Amino acid sequence: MHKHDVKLDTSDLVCPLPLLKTKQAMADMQKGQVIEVICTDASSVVDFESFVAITGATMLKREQNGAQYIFVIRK
Amino acid sequence: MKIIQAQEIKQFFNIAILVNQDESDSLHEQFVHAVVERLRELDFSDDYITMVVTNAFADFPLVAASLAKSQEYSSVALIAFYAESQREEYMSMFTTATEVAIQTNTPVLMEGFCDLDDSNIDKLNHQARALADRIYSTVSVMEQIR
Repeated sequence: MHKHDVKLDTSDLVCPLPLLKTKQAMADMQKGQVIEVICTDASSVVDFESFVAITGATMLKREQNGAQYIFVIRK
Repeated sequence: MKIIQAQEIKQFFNIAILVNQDESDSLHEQFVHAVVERLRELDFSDDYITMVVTNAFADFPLVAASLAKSQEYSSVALIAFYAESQREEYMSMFTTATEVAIQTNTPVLMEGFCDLDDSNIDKLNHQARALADRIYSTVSVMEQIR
């Protein structure tokens, strides 16, 4: 179980909006802090893999819970 | 909180639609026309819609990056028509679209249509309208994010 410093719910937003909101939220975070992002767009799975690769962040956890996709990312 | 009326959107938001369109394929034309028609219904004036046509979707990364980096567009929508044999190449475009979006803070939407055929025009029209609705939704939310 990863504790998170910031939680971001992007339910009902279509990609790439969850990514852009996550990027915006992470801009205010310190390096090492953790964000949990909740998405409902299935394409977010691919998008967030690219996101961490591009930004150098670390994907700590990703899981699907019903219609929700949950990503825990360390800056 | 800033609240804007839906009808104001047409005044503020420019949309670029990048499509690989074979001029000889009327189905592609019909599809794109349906997207634009729906955007007009949503009060987007033609003045705020820029259509960019390429011969192949392999050109998308360069052109999409150029459009997004210009910061002139609230959203860039990529419509890829591709054949089954091009699926792998198409899938790799998703990463490109994500990269461009992250680097430019511009939403880059990607929709692909494999081996489009005219056996179900209603379905095609529905897909085109859904894409236009997605563009509309994206630019609306972007106003709140920025």
